[in-house]
Amino acid sequence: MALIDIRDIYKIYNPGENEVRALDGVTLTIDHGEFVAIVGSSGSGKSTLMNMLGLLDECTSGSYYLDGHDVSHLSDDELSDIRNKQIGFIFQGFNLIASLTAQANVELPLIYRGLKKEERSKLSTEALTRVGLENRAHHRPSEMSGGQQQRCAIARAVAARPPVILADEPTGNLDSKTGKHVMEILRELHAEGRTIILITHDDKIAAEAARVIRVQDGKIISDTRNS
Amino acid sequence: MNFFKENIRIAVFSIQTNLMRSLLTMLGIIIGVSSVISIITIGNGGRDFIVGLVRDMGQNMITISVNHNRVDASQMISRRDISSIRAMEHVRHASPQMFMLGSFATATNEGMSLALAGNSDLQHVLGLQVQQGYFFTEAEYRGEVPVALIPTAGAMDIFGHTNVVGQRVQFTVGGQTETIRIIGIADFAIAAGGMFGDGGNPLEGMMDGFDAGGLIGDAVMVLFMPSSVIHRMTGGAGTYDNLSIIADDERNLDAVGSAAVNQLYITHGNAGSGAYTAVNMANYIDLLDSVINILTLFIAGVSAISLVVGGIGVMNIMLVSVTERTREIGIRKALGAKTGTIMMQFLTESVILCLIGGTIGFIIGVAIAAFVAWFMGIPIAMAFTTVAIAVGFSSAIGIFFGIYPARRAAKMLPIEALRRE
Ligand SMILES: Nc1ncnc2c1ncn2[C@@H]1O[C@H](COP(=O)(O)OP(=O)(O)OP(=O)(O)O)[C@@H](O)[C@H]1O
Ligand SMILES: [Mg+2]
Repeated sequence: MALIDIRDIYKIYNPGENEVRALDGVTLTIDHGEFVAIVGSSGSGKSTLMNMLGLLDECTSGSYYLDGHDVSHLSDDELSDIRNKQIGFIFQGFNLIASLTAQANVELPLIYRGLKKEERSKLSTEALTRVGLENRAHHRPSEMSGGQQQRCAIARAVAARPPVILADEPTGNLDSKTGKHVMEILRELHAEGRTIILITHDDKIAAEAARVIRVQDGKIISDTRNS
Repeated sequence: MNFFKENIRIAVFSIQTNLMRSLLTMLGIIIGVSSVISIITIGNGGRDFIVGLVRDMGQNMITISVNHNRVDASQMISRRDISSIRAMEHVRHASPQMFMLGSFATATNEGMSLALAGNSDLQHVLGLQVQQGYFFTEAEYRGEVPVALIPTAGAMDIFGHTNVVGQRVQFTVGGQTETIRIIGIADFAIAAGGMFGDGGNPLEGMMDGFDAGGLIGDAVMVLFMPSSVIHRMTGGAGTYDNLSIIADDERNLDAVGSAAVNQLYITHGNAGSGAYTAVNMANYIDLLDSVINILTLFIAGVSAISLVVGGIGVMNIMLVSVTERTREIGIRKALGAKTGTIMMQFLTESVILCLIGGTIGFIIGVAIAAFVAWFMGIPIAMAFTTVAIAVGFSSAIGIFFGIYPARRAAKMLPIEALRRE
């Protein structure tokens, strides 16, 4: 059974005269353990698709089965629960909480999972070490560079070891060396059996994924597997 | 329990990390609570003070007054009337009260003089305490003997000492001058304390006020003296338009009042003319009660306004601070926080802020009230129900507006909350 199965998804902003079809009839299945890259130019609808896949947004029409379950009728709290347990987000704009330290930010999904303090600090330290931020654990986002914030966001996405990782331009703000490091981490996570969905506009990075889905004007225009 | 502790920890952490915002939030509550508490406490204290003052001023006192436009000179209260009323049952003392402004002169000093005159019962009617010498007797009253007592403060002002018995003063009223012999010092017995200056008496306070305003020279001499002397000097008919009676017991006030009025009607043969009216302290207290009720309503109104103002402040800062955190709420939701969890976080934060703010507000309010009460010389009257209402109301507003916008944000789609700046 496919992990993700979406059919005929539409996301239409401002229906009527100035409508924007951010997603225009997208049908897509992704299996467990895949490493998928979604590419497309700016404004093509990549982030919209990721928000949809990550249960952060509602579609205008269409159906979504996650692990065989229809998620379109789940309650708000059930969706929160799935996001917490199943999905690790790396947002395009980091979305760190400014008043919290790196470590506290990384621990957020662990708190909502109900983990005890000791376990949380163990997992968060591990995740921060993984992205090379162990010496910035007590810094606030405003005290870190853009790349460090990006890595902190990655640490937060992986700390709870979710089976699915949704990464929106995780290398967008990084120099090529750090970018390579991030890709290395994603490959490791994939090797551990996680499903990775990576959004990028960089074809070179997309080439590292096993499957590349190309989006344009809210439509999938190609879906190829690298061999 | 663990969840609860965790919540408090997160809330305390959030308050600490946003100290400035938290302080501003608390400021609204502090201002609301402290203003209500100080206003109510000062208001109630002032009210109690006024009530106490009026009650002290004339216990068991009945005032009979003659309605000037319904009588001719023959129907005024005569000495004979007073004698017969004095002889009535339950009557302790009865004296008219006459106030006459004149002037005085001593070897070294001169100025305005206020004569407070009556018969030998004047002492009781005015509530005077004789400090030196004696109060003039009924015989001196009848004999129109020119004697007087003066208050301690007046003695100090005019003679510079209190060793004044036997001193003589030239007293002029209605163009007549007589030499008055001072036979003692008498002061008003009620110590009002504070508000009316050291003399502790409303009348003296009033006199001080005249003094300060320069209305009456620089020295005003108060003389407590027989009214018969003034009648002789001014060539009056020797009758009065008022009579103050002191009854033996509060319960007899009404009876004594109407008996005295009846007696006057019988003597003067003018029953039904409405010439005489008796008002006693109980009547005044009834009147006072309605004044107190108005005062109480007024205080409550002012307090309600300051509560509302404080409440709006709390609401404002809560709305702003939660709206400011919509994005944070979006992030927390995206990472798996449920609506209830977010509500708990904001509820805990609001409760902690309101508790701290309420406590500080309470302390500041009491301190302000205590200071003002001390400064004005009024008692501190803390009404605990109103304090509870003030703290409760501000906290309720703080908590409601702490969670209401948080709830709104928590109910949004995570992506919508995330898009907010
Ligand atoms: N809230 C919104 N209201 C209206 N239009 C929107 C909204 N959000 C996105 N869009 C539009 O939807 C389209 C897709 O946006 P999306 O953010 O998915 O692009 P993207 O592919 O992620 O671009 P980028 O590479 O720049 O991040 C864009 O044309 C955008 O203008
Ligand atoms: Mg995007």
